[in-house]
Amino acid sequence: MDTSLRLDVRYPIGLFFAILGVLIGTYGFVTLERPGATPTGVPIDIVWGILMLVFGAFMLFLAERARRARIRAHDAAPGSSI
Amino acid sequence: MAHAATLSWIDYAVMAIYFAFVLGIGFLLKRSVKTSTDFFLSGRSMPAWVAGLAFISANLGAQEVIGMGASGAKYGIATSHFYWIGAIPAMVFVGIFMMPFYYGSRARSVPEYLKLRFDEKTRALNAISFAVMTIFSSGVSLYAMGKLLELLLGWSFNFSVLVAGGIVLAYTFLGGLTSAIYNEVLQFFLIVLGFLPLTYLGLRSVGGWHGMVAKLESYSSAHGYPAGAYTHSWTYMNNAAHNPIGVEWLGLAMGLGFVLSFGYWCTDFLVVQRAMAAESMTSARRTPLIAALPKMLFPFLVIVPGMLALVVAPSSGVRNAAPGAPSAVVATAPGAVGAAEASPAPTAPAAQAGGEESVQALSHGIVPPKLNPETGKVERDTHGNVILDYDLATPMMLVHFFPAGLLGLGLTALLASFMSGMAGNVTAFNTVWTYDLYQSYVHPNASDQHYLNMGRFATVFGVLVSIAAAYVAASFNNIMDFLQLVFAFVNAPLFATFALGMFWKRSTGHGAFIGLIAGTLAAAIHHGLTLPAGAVVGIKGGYFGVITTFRSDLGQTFWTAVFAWVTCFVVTIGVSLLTAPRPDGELKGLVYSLTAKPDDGAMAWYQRPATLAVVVLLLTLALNIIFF
Repeated sequence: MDTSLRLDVRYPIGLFFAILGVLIGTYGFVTLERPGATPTGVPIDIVWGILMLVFGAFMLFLAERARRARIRAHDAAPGSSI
Repeated sequence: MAHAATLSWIDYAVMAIYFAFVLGIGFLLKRSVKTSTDFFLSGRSMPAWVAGLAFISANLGAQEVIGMGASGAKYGIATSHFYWIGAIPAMVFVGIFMMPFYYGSRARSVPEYLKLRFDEKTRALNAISFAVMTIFSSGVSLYAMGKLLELLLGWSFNFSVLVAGGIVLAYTFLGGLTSAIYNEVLQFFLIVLGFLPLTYLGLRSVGGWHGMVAKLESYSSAHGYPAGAYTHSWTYMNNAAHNPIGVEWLGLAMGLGFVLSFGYWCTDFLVVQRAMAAESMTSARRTPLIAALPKMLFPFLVIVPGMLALVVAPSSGVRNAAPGAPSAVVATAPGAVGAAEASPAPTAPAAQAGGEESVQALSHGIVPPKLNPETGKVERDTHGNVILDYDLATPMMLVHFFPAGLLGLGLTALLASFMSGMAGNVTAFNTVWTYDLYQSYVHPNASDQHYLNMGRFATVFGVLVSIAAAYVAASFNNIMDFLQLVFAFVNAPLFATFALGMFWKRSTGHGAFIGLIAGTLAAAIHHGLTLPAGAVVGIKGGYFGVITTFRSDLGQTFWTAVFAWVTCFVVTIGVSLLTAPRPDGELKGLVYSLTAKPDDGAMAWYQRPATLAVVVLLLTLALNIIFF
């Protein structure tokens, strides 16, 4: 398999959780006053939204760092696949 | 029937985004699939961490999330035995000792290894039984999902089954094993992040870990067990009567810790396929070891919510547990341990029928009693005790604690668990069908493109048969019980065949074949001569006459497995000694004593698989001691 054609799985994972984090966190903030929004006293949508956003951003950072490392390796050894 | 939760737009949005990503991954990977090796084995190019998370995620299906939550409510922390002795040691073993043969032999599947090591008939027996079992497992999983969503959300069974089946079909058809593995990694993180808040919120609502332990001690005493029986994993295993599992330590260690555990993790192509897709021998050996690290912590993700469901106050969540709402039979997948069982405690006088008030009174925490799907009345055992619907423990926790938004995340994680299990089954099926059955017996010398096309056709066929099996399960529950029983009989002796094949060069193809059949028959005979306490003769056993009664279903299952394994082991040795062995030259790379050991000398000590294995085993030992 030509792995240079293949997607780094950390991109979709990072993007997915970043989107969900923003969506759920924002929804939690907007609906904070609604009954049931803070089970056991925790604004869980906001807390978990932020956590997912951070996780998603971290995965995107790792994917991007790996991509740049591949480019550097490719530049150092022309002809190899990225 | 009323259902437990109504979703808002945000919940649907979360699901829609997930489906879009899952399908998008399939489309993006389509261009990288050019050969049958790409489609079936992911080009043997997966990094160890990706293969490792896929290894664990393929197993993270319905039985894990729903079944283990159900078992947590039913048996308490002792359910962690399914991880700490029922999975981790076997995962270490397959990584260190077996992967060199699977990966090093360049076999494309587990049945193909059997052909290389033994002969064609042993491969055919394993390939056919695996293909049938896999596809029916997938169908039972689909059925369980459709039924659960119908009960929980009021969704149409047909809609749920067809949409989930269609999405799995789309992404496995397009991207083959790579797509399945990538989605399994996404699903792994989704399941972890989707269920973790459940443990957190549940523990907060009962006053933390100590609060949960105190409540479970009261529950345990009220049910006739020692106070710590639900919160200690080993202390009460000296006697089957002293723990809710109803098994003593020897049966547990031999049946679960050895035969069933090693039989599954070391021989089931569904999980082994992920390690075989790794980019190198070292990565393949690391794959199960990396998987073992999160696996050992899964009890806190899937078992603890079940335990909490038993003791949280119905008024503690964002919405009260809907009395009389979802409560009916939810089938568990093959191998699942969660199921409804009689609970001797709640016998409120109001409990005459399945009315809403009586159902609420008969619930434990937020675990509702089981209702007869036809009459709507509360089900009771032969002693008049209420039967709790433990399969609903985890789903009820979701709808009880999660507000809109997080509820969408939790339900999507639940869907992901069903879909990852199904995709795992389908990708394993299409490989075994194409390589081990079609290429071997139907069309041996076709082009690679032909086998790639056949793989895609097998994917469509596998999903369609899975959907059909889901409808069979919906119509004839006993047929699925019967099939699950047959699966158990076939699986139990398998590890004896593999162990002898890999570690005793004298074992022969005739020995392996006859040993497997003898082991399967022995399982059927043992099951037919024994019965769990309180069970009726029939699908539960005793059909040849009852000579022993076990305290629980699990006790019977564990000892049936031991009986089958020992029979297969002894018969394989006996027949092998009577038949001609293969020359040593033909067994190089297939048998331990004739295979060069992987040389890890060039790696730093902390990079070696053996070091990782020791770390994994020490951490598992520590968990066993902490929760002893």
